[in-house]
Amino acid sequence: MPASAYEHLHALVVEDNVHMRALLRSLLHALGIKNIAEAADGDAGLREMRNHTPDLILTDLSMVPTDGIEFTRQVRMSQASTNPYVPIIMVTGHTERLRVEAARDAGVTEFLAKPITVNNLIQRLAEIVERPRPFVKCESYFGPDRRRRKMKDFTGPWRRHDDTSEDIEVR
Amino acid sequence: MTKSKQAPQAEIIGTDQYPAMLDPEAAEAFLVELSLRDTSKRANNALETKRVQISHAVRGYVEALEKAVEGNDIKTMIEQAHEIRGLAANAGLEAVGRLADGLYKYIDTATRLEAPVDADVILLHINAIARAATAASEAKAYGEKVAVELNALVTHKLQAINRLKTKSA
Repeated sequence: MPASAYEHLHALVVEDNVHMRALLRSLLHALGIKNIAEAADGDAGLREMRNHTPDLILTDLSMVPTDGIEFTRQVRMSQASTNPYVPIIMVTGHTERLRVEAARDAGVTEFLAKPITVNNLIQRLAEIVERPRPFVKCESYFGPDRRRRKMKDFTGPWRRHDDTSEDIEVR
Repeated sequence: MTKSKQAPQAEIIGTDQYPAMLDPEAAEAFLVELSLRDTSKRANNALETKRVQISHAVRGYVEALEKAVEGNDIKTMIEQAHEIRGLAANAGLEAVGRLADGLYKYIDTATRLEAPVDADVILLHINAIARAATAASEAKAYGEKVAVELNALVTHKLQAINRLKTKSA
């Protein structure tokens, strides 16, 4: 299969640390993604999206003035967003549960923990390509389905009006 | 099991109802590329070539952190600790990263809870970080143990802050 089949793939790296940004760019390039735009914070990322609609975003969590959570929320929810369905990988060293949950609830597709490893990045990219998830749209959320695993014994509480005991899954 | 009356109306948008990241042919080609040993090797080489550069950057952040401590500049301490914890392990300075992570958690949480920070806790971390950043063999032998001990100290201190805050609330 020719590499040219995916050479149009366009990635956006949103990261305030110049060294981490360069590292992510080098890794993506080595993995075959040649079109890579960069932004130093969420606002710059949103501006960059207007110039080049990305097929994939890698974003840091902690940035000022606009962090990765707000950036993700804007990509997903803003009417000005050029691609609300774009896969977003959040690169983070944060292990605090609340911040990770906030990022997930903003619509992050995958998490990539720091320190960055090649295997972890490959796994996340493969997951996005191999197993794209449906999107959920409701009053409080728009983003990839947060339910990943089926749990046979789950008995509620039901969170969606059309949940049934046959198809319930939990995140 | 009955459903909650508050269960929200959610619209499910199937994967065939929104634009895919790649068309099927390109997706297959990309997955093949990702699975190749050569691809991993190339990416690991890319990671390796950045290691020295990142290592220099981390040492610069450590110096800035030491200056921030001398100047009692809490905001800069948080910023520098954050940069160090994110980058250090990719420079092979795992212990430095773990120590900086503990320091960041302590100062960030204490200041967010408007509690005074214990200067000794900061000094212990700074000394350990500075040493681990410059003495590689010591860091390799003892860095993890020191990080575990200091992390326990941070947990203890943050629990004490939480208890005080709970009492005063």
